[in-house]
Amino acid sequence: MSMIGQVIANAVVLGASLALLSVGFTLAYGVMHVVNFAHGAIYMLGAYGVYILSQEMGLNFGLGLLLTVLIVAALAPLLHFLLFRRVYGRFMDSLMVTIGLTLVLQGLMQLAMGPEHRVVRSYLDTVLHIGGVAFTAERAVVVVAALVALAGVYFFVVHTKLGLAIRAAEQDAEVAGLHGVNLDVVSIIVLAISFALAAVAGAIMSPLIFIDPYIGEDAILLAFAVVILGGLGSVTGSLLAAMALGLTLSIAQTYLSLDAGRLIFFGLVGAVLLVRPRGLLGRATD
Amino acid sequence: MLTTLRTGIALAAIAIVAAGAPQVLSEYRTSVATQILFACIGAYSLWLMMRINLLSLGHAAFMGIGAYTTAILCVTHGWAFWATLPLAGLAAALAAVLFGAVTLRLQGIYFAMMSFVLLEMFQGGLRQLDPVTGGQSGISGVPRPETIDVGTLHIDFNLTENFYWLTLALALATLAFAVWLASSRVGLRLKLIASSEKLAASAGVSVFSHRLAILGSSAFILGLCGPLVATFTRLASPSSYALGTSIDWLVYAAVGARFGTFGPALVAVVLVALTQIVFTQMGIYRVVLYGLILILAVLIRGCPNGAIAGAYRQLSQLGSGKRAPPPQDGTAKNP
Repeated sequence: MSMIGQVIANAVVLGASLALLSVGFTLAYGVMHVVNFAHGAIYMLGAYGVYILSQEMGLNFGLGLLLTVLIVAALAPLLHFLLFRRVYGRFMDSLMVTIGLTLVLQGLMQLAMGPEHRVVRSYLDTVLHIGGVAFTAERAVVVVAALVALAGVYFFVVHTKLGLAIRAAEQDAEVAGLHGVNLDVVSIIVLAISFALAAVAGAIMSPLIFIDPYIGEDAILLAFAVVILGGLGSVTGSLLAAMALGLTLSIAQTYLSLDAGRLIFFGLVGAVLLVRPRGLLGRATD
Repeated sequence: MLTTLRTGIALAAIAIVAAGAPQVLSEYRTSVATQILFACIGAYSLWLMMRINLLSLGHAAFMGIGAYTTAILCVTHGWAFWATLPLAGLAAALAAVLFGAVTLRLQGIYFAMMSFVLLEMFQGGLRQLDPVTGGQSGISGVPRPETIDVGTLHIDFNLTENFYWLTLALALATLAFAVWLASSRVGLRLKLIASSEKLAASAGVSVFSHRLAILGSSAFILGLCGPLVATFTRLASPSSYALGTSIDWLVYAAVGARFGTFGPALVAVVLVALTQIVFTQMGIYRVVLYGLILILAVLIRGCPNGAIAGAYRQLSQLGSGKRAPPPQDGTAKNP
């Protein structure tokens, strides 16, 4: 019983972190029609931000996380005008430009911090016991942070005026623009939300993994698989697919190996594409 | 006709200069030149994909499949190198066609994203099949091709320059294929597919089968190159066929596409020579440099297919300088 409980608990933690990672990616895809390969590099920046602020500068972990997210989100306007604005609506070009951006960010981070693994020290050493399942508090924080961040984004998009503009732009950017929606502002905000979610994911996962300048490659790979399974541009689909990947990895981790779990999931994504070419919840027209 | 003649002369001139290179280069420089040829072959495999408006992050897997085919057959089963070479090419092409059958019916962007997943599955598979593939450390001791000894002809591939010429033969064949493709009727149909899938389909061009053929042939070329790389380094290991390899080729192909059919080769020669000779002591600057070059290549002249880029420019000007509307081209829709 507690074995099954443990598997489910692990699945929820993995699923939450994957959801946090992929929702921002799919949001930028849905609204601006960009494939942001650098999403993984932003995740990496989030992890290093917390490492530098909380470990090297001695700030409290929560404050470090908050500052990291703000700093990373502040990159959005800069990168919007420098790079993204010129490739909105162009999938291949956006992919190429953001691969270039990824190389630059990885290279600069390696120049600044070196190529070696870094360890973010544990900031909570409590172990929770919920219904016979042992759970480190840090892993519970992953779930709580994901819920808070995703609920915040949901509230913003559904209940605010800017959120309305975002949804309008997502449906038809041209018409939204004609109705006075400032597409620059919408794009910057969506990009900032997307960056912030990736940075939160990197920051809260950092104590659970080794960090190096290349962790983003694995992050973007998993985000790709999740988003393709869920349907490009569909937030609900991404959430479902993230949970599915979390569960697959968790079961495989317990009974086989993590590597095998990834292979099984990737095979699953391919199989779903055969049957449903646009993923689970992808829209018929884009 | 005149352009064909001119291209033919250019191709012959490149062949003569490249074939003469070992006469003036030191042995070390000749082996650097061999690595440049590997980069050229990789660059053209991605250039071929760009002809049909597709971008692959996973093409290194096809080279890896070729390399491992030869490594497993030669080292574990004692086959002759030459016997494994065609099999290596076919294995890679087969893998590509299977992968294409699933992904090429979708929007191009699915292909690009799934190609990264494919590469990861290849690497994961290598680690899982440890007894066959040697796991993370791979298979070492991949032999050089056997000496050719027919009558007066005696070619020993342990000699650096002979191995260089062997690689050059494959590189020139690849280049000739690219040149032929750029000027043939097939090439014309590919151009149509790249500018509009719908238009191509309505003109009776089968988009899917053309894409599958290009994917298959680019993988076949890489499958033939893989054994050469494995025997050059005497090793087939997962890390040789990683994302970084594909991205390097992408840089050569994307930047080179700006300079015509010979562009990818030119860019590969310049960048690899530069990084092998100038940047050897500072490898990480190379990554930053490649990143900046890739960004500039895309931003300076838009996407490689002039027609589409022009349409976007017009549309975005209509929208009073606002961002371009959602794409109307082949990357977005599947007929």
